[in-house]
Amino acid sequence: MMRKLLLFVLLAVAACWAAEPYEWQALSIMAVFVAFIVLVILYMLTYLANSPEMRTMVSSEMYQVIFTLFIIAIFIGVEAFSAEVIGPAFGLDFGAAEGQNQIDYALEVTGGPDASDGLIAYQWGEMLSFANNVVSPLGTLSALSARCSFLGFSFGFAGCAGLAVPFASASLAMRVLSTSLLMLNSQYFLLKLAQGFFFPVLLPVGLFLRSFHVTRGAGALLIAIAAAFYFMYPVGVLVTKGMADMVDYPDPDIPHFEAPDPTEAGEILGVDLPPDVDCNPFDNDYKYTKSAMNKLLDDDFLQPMLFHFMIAGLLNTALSLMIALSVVGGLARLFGAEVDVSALARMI
Amino acid sequence: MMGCPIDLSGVYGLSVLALGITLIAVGLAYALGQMLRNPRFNVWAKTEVFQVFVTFVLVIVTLFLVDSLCTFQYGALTSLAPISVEAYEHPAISDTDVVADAAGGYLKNLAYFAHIAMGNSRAVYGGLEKALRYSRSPCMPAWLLCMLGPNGYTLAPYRGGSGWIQVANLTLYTDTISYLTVLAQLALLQFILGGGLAVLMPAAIIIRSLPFMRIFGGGLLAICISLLIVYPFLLMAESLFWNPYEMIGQENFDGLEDLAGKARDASHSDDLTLWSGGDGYSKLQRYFDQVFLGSSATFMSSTFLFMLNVLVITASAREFGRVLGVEVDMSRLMQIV
Repeated sequence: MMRKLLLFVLLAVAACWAAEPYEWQALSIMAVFVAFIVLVILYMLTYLANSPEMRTMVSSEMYQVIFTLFIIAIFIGVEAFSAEVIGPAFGLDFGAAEGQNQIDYALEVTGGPDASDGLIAYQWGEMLSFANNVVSPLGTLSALSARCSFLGFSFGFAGCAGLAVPFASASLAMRVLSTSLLMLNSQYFLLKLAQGFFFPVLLPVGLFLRSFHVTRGAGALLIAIAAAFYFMYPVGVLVTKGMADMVDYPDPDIPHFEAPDPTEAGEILGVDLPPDVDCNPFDNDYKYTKSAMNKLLDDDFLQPMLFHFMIAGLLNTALSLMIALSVVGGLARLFGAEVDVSALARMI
Repeated sequence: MMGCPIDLSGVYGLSVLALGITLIAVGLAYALGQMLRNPRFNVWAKTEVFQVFVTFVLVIVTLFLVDSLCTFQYGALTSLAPISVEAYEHPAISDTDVVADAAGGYLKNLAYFAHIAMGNSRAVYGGLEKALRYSRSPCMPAWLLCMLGPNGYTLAPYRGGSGWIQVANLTLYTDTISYLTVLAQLALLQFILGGGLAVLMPAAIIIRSLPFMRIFGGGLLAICISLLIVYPFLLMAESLFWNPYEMIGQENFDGLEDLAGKARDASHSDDLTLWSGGDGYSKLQRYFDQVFLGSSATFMSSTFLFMLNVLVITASAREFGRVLGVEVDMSRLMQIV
C-alpha cells in the first residue's frame, strides 16, 4: 500500500496502471487530477515567490486542464459512439458480430498468426497455390535440358530455356505477393499495438503531459497517436476492405504447370519425359513459352490476382495507414503540437 | 547491463555553480547599468534573472528525473503492468534492475528477437540458394547399366525456389534494417545515459545567459532535456506493455529460434535436404510462415515504434525550446532517421 502511495506521489500515471482492468477513462481522469494538483501547488508557490507573471501562467494552464477534461469527455463519447452506433453499423454493412468494436473486427478481418480465416490466411493460401502450381514447376521446367552424345559427338538441347522469361516474371510476382503479406502482418501487429499500448497507455500519459506547458507538444502528439490508431486506423481498415468487397472479383483461377516430380527420380530415367510434363527440351518450338505466357496472362487469373494483392493487400494497407497518419497530424495540431508525420508516411 | 555511469551529484553541483556564475555575471551587468545609469543594462539583467531561474528549475527537474531512472527499481513498475519481467530472457531483466538498465535490457531483447528473425530469413535464403543449384543427370538406360553414358535429361528440381528467394530477400532486408535500428537505439540510449548530455546542461545554462548565445544555449538545453527524459521513459512504457515474444506466441518463437539455430550451427548438414524429400516444399512453406511473423513483429517493435519515439522527442524538444525562447526544429533528424 505504502509503495503504491509513494508511486502515486512520484509516478502517478504509472501507479494508475495498478487498476485492473486497465480502464483508460479512470487513468486519464486520475492523470488530469494529478496535473491539477501539481498546478495548484505551483499556484501556491507563486504567492511565495510573489510572481504575478507566474500566477498568470499557472492560471492559463488551469484552462488547459479543463480543456483536457473536455478532450476526455469527447473520447468517452467517441468510444461509446463507436460501440453503440458505428459497431452495429459495421455489423450490418461489413459483417461484424454483435458487441465487436471497430478494432476487434479489424483484427478479425485482418487475421492473425494462427487464424484460419481473414485476409492474411486468404493471401497466404493464394500465394502458396501460386508458388506450388506456377513458380516452382516453371523454375524446374526452365532449367530442364537434355543432351545426346555418341562416339565423341554431343548435342545439347535447351528447348525449355524460353520458359525462363515467364519464370522471371513469376518470381518477381512472388516478391510483390510477399510484400502484400508482410504489410498485412504488420497491419495486424499495429492493430494489436493500438489496442494494447497506444490507447490504454499513451492516451492517459499524453493527457497528463498535455496539462503542462513544457510537455504540451509531447502530450498532444501522444493523444493524437492513441486516438488516430485506436479509432481511425481500424475504421480505415474496415472501410478500405468494404470498398474492396464492393468489387465482385472471384478468386483467381491459378494455372497449373506440370514439371517432372523432383521426388521421383525414376520417372526420368528413361529417354522420354512423362507425357504430361509441360515442356520437352528436345523440342525447340516456341509453343511452350507462348503457352506459359498465355496461361499467366489469362484474365481469370491475372486480374483477380492483381486485385486481391495489389488493391486489397498493398493499396488498402497503405491507404489505412495514410488515413491514420493524416489524422495524427490534424489531431496533434488541434491539441497543440506541431509535428511532421510525413517521415512516417514515407516509411510506407 | 548499461547502468548509469555518471555521478549525477557532481552535475547537481555543476548546475548550482553555473547558476552562481551566471547570477554573478548578471549582477555585475546590473551594477554596471546602475553605475552608467543605462536602463538597457538593468532591463537585460532583470530579464536574465527570470530566465536563469526558469532554466535552473528545468535542469534540476530533469536531473531529478534522470536520477530516478538510475535509482528506481523496474520491479516496482512491472507489478503494475500486464507484462512481467519473466517475459524477457535475452538477457533476463530482474526486478531489482533500475529503470535505465531495464530500458537497455528491453532493447537487447528486441535486438535478440530481430537477430533471430534475421537468422530465419538467412537460413531459408541460404538453404534455397544451395537447393536451387542442385541438379542431377540420371544415367540411362538403367537396365543397360548406363552403357549409353551421359545421354538424357538434366533436371534441377528445386530451381523454382528462386521465386521463394525473392521472398527471403525481402524479409532479410526488413529484418536487417530492424536489427540495425535496434542497435542504433542501443547506441542512442548509451549516449543519453552515458552522462555527456547531463554534463552539457550546466554548460548550456551559462551559454544561454551569454549575449548573442541564447538561441544556441536554449536549443542545446531543449534537446538535452527532451532526450534525457522522453526517450528512456518511452522505452520503459513500451517494455511494460509491448513484448514481441508474447505477441507472436511462444510456440512460434521456439520455431524461429530452432531454425535460426540450425543456420548458425556450422556442423549442420541438413541445408540441402531441408527442402528435398517428400515434404520439402511444405517444410519450406511452414518456415516461411514463421519468417513472415518474425519479420513483421520485429519491424513494428524495432522500426515503427522507434520512429514514433523520435516523433515524440521532436515534439518535446520543440515545446521545451519554446519555453526557453528558441525554435528547435528536429524534423531534419527525423528525416535522417
